[in-house]
Parts: sequence; structure tokens; C-alpha cells
Amino acid sequence: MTSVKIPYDLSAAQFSPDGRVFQVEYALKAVENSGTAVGVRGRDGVVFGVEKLVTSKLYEAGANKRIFNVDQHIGVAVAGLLADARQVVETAREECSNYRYNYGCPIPLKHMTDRVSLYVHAHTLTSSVRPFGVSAIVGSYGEDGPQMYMIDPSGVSWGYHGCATGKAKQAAKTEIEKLKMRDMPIRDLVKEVAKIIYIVHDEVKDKNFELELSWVGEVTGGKHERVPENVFTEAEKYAKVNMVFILF
Amino acid sequence: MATENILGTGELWRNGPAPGSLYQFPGNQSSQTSSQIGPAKRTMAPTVTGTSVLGLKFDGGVIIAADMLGSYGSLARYRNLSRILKINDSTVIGCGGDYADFQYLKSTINQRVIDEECWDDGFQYTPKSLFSWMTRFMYNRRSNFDPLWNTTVVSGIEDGQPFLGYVDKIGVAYEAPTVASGYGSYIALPLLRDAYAKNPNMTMAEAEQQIERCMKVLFYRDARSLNKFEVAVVTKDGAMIRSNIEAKANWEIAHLIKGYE
Amino acid sequence: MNFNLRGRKKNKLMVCTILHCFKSFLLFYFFSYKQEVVYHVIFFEIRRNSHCHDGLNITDSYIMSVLAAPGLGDTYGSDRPKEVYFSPYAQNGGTTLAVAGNDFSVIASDTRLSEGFSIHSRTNPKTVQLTGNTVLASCGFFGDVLTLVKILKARLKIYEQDHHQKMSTTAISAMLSTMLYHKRFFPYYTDNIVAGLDNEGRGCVYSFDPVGSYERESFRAGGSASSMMQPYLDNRIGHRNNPNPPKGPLTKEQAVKLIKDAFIAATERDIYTGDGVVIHVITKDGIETESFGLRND
Repeated sequence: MTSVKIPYDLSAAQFSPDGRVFQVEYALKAVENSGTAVGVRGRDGVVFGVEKLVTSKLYEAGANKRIFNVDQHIGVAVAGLLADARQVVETAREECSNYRYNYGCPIPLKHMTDRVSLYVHAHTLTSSVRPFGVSAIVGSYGEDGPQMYMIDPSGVSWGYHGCATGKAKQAAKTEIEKLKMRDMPIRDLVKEVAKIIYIVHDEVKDKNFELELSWVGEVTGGKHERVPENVFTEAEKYAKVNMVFILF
Repeated sequence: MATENILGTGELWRNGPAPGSLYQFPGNQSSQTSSQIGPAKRTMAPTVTGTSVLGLKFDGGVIIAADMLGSYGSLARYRNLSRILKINDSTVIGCGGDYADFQYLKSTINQRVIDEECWDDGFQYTPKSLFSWMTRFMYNRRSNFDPLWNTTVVSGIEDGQPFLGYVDKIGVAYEAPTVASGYGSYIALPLLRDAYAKNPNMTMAEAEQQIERCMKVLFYRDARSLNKFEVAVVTKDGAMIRSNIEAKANWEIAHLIKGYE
Repeated sequence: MNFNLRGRKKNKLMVCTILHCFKSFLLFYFFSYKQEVVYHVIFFEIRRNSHCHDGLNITDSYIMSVLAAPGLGDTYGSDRPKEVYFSPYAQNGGTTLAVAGNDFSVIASDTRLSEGFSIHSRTNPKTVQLTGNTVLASCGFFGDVLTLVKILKARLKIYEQDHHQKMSTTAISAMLSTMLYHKRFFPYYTDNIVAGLDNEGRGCVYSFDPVGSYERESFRAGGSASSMMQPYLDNRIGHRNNPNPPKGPLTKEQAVKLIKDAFIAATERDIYTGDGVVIHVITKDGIETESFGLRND
């Protein structure tokens, strides 16, 4: 009898002897290969920032966006495999639409997060599927103020005041922790978020990136949308100036 | 007389259900005789209804109006219903007919608007695209013998030009500079057409004046109308809806009418 | 109802035939009541049958037994047939007319859209240009007209992309016929005339009944005033009982003048015709369109 080494990482349906599900951990790795995504929850809304890496100069600008509308009041910023992310976003949209149809009002973010988490988690249980290589930050603004959650590939979700995922999540989190976001309006936060994306971007390893900025809050009338052009330019300018300041 | 009825015949009230039986919705002729056997039925009669919707183009825009009454047969049941729906800054619709069907239409359209926003491509519904969709939607429902019991007026601005269209429950649809549905097509439409023929380039104020005049005439003549109405005006500056407008009626000569007591 | 259901189809008690589509069965009883045609439409949707009764066609007697079966629950989700009192059709009036010449054809319609005693629109032509040398005139129930035109245009676009050429007038007519017949048991309530040029460049007119019967003709009136116009054309163009028929072929100018006269005359008597006329003259050089006003009372 020859003993054959059994791989524990071929299926999400099997634990390793020390209680890990390798497929899920690989999914997390996929997320960490992606450009950084940041979400910050302020006094009167939520701001999303994404460092969208552009791997070729031949690509058209503005393609493959990583911030999505899911319902009028909910936005999603994703890090990881974009195609997987679209699937998760589509599920989120269906949940929102379903809730609206049944209850006649916008879905509370907590409910949507729970439902989408359940869906993501279902993909960590069976051998016939692989987990989603995606971390999704979801944010909304409604009657009970700003809300923000992050859903992981494991199907776990947490509520946050500030969170980051992707390549430089550690550096980004360190920057976010310096903010007093609870008292800050999103008009100011949008600049800080832009700055964080610029700071954590690794110019050596990843040459080009596009900054994506969106918000949902008091100023947008509770609608999630990309920040207007003037706000974007201002935030980007602020980011570039202050980033240089930090470097020296 | 009333005592006689209650004590003598056992009838509780006129036109009401017999004790232990159900209310019959108004206008549903088929309910009493053939409901026990034979094919099952979908409700084919409107229940709570709205009356006319009016629309008129003017120089640089369009105006539509509908009163705020929800009738339950001849009963003026709801007196503060909105029958006008803003889709976006360039598109507004107004709806007559079954109010439940209108609410269904409303939620369907609202979700479609959200779906459209999700694409995040800068496109949105325009009066023409919504009108086209409405014609298909209403026609398909009638083709499945499950119609939405509504007439809809679609209005707005597209490419700087005012748009005004009409769609009914079986999918008959057209565009015109003046439209009216229901009773308004008999009473208000001739007035609007006359006004439009005399002045095809009305100002917004003139158009509003014409619409308000027509709403007042409708209140005088249409027994299912109310002197409280909504007006939506769409111009290049956006869509604006004003609610709770009152038509000042004058019934001074009413006492002169004799012979109908 | 003013449709000319020709020959075999004329005024028949329409159909008690069953359409077996993928999942539903439709049965229509069209019967007359107090001189008005009332559509008593009985809509059968017996889903289970299409799956369980493998291959078995539903017979009339089966339907009657379903109709008569007492005591079946009226509850939600029941598989029983559904009866509906609702007319899916309207008569929106309008008159159309087409004439074929040697190397041209002319097609026209009025612009009034009405329903009962109301006029919906005074500026609604019933003609649609389909290709560079084909025009369709379609009137009757305007909901069906809109749908038919929409599908027809889509089919033409598909044909053009498949074959890298425009569809000929003759082919369009053949296709329209099959499209109408495919709705044989829930017809498009439309009266259609197609005008254009045939493959030899001669003017051609095809006329259709609502369920797809069609033929090539040299002149045809359709719609609400067709019964007034057709005899006039029989005499003026077909020269029936015309003691002094003019010599030589019909010219464009003559045809247009005739059409104008026909519409002006019909408008006097038919309340569903009026307001205006649109005339398209189709030649090898393209389509010329003119319009003029009619009485709008």
C-alpha cells in the first residue's frame, strides 16, 4: 500500500485537517491581486474610491468600471475578479428589485447584505462551484443614515466606518484610521478617499490606473452616483498635491 | 319609506348585498349569473378609477393635467390620488382608468428606470422611448386577454421638441398636439383643438390657462370628476408637477334649474 | 364591420377551431348581437393539457365538457379555462387606395384616426414606406397596425442583413401573407395593401384580407370607405360598363387625380374618412409624396 498525499484544496466542499477551506483562501488571494478599493462612511453619506489598474495603454478609457449602481440608494465597489463581481452585483440587483416589488420601498442595506452574503456563502459549500474571487463594499444612505458593509468571498460580512480591500488594503486602512470620518461630511471625505487611492498606488509595480469615485448621501439626495466632474477634478487635484507633500 | 323597507321587506339598504353575500364591484355585469359554473374569470372591470387626462403642446414644452379623484363606481371614494407620474426631467405620464393597474404600471416603470440607471451609460428613458414601450406593454397585455384598464398620456421634451402621445388599453396609440382621454375626449378635446388651431404657438401661461379652463368645464360636466387637480409642465428646464390646484367653480345659477328635483 | 372577408370567409360565424401552440389553446366564438358584433371571447388556457395529454388534441366536446363541469374550484391557480368579457379589437377607420400603372404605382391613405364618434387624430397617415420602392397601406384596428408594421420592419431589416439586398415588393407581399396567416386564429384586424414595382419594373399592387389571402391587382381600395371607392375605380380604371373608355395606358397624373377625386367623394359620406390624404407615387426613380386636405368635419 502506497500512501498517496490527498490534496485538500481541490474542492470547496472539503476541510483541511486543521479546519481550513483552501478554496476560500485562494479566493481571498484573488482579491489581493486586484487594485485597491476603499469605502468610507461619513456623517452624511458614504464615499467609494477605486484604484482601477490599467494594464495596457491600448485600452479605451472608462471601460470595465468597478463601481456599480445596484439600486437608487445603493452602490457597490468591488475588488477581485471583475467577471465574478458582476455576477455578485447582478444578484444584489435582483434582491433589491425583489424587495421593492414585494414591500414597495427601498431595501435596507442590512437586508441586502445578508441576502447577498448568503448567496456568496452558498458558493463555498459544494464541490461543483468555486467561491467568488470578490470582496464587495456596499454602501447606502437612507432613513437611518449612512450604512456600509463589506462582503468577503467566504460569505461573511461586517459593518464598517471605513474599509479597504485589494492589493494595498493594509496601507489604505492605516490611512483611513487617521480620518475622523464620523464627523466629516462626504464633500470633504471624497478628497481624502482620492488621496488615499493615490497614496497607496504602487507606481513601480503598477504603472497606470484610473481613479473611480462615487458617493451616496445627503448631497446626492440619497442616490448613489459617480461624483460630478467638478468634484472629481477637485478631489484628484487635492490628492495629487497632498500625496507629493507626504512623499517629501 | 325607509322604515317600511327595513321592517317590511327585510332589505337592509338599496343596491347593497343581501345579508351574508358579497359586494359586487360596480360595472361587473357578469358576476351574478355565471360565476358559479363555466370558465374561471379574470377581473375585467375596473374598480377604483380615475377619469380624463388632458394634454396640450405649447411653444417649447408640453402640459398635462388630471384630477385627483379615485371613483368607486359612482362613489367619489378617494379625493387625493395622484394620477401623474414623473419619470425623469424630460418625461411625465398621466393615467386614467383603473387605479390599481396604474399603480402596477408605476412600480414596473420605476423598476425599469432603476435598471436603466444601473447600466450607468448615461442613457435614460425619453418620451418617445417610453411611449414606444407603453404601446408594446399595453398591446401585449391585451393580446394575452389580461389588459391593463388604462389610457395613458405620455408627455415630455425630446431633442428640444415637445412630445405628446396617447396609448389605450388595447394598444391603440398616436401622437397629437392635443390629447384627452375618457370623458375629456368629448368635452375638453374640442376646446383644446380650437385653442390650438387659433394659436399653435401658445406660451406656457396661455397653455396653462387653457388646461385649467378645460379642467373646470370637465368638473361642471363630468360627474366622475373633482375640482382638485394636478398639472405637469415639461420644458427644457425640467419637469414640474403642481398638485392640489383648485378649479374655482360658480354654481350661482344652479337654483334656476327646475324640474329635476 | 367593414372588412371585406372575401369569398369563403365572408361573414362567416368565425371559427370554432383550436390553435394548438406550445402551451395554450385559444377558442373564439364571434357572434352577432343586436346587429353589433360582440366579441364573446372565451379564452382557454389549459396548461396541463399540453403536457399531460400527450399529443391528444382537444376536441369540441372536451371543451364543452370543461365548460359544463360544475363544482370545480374557482380558486387561484386553477387549471380551468378562463372566460373574459373584453374586446381586444377596435375599429379605428381610415381608407386606403392603390393603383398600378405600367411603370409606376400610386398608393394613398387618409389621415384621420377615429374610434366611434370621436376623432383621435387628424394627422395620422396609414401608409408606411417599407423600402425604396415599396409602400404599405394598413388600416383597421390601429393597435394591430402598429404591431404589424413594427414586426414587418424588423423582418425587412433581418432580410437585408441576411441577403445584402432590399426585399422586393413581390417578396414583401408573400411574406406579409404568411405573417397574417400565422395569426389566423387571433387575426390582425387589418386591411392591407402593398404597392410598388415588380421585378420587371412594372407597377404592382397587392391586396390582402385580414388572415392572409392575397392577390395581385391593378387597383384596390381598402378600409372604411372601400365599398364606396372600389366601384368607382372599377368604372374609371377597370372600365367596367364604361361606354367610352379612354385610349392609351393610365398615366401618373391621371391616377393621382383619380385618387384625389375618390377621397374627396368618399369623405362626403364616410365619417371615418377625412382630414387629409397622403399620396405616394412610386417609380424607378424613387417615391414622391404629396398631401392635401379634406373636409375635417
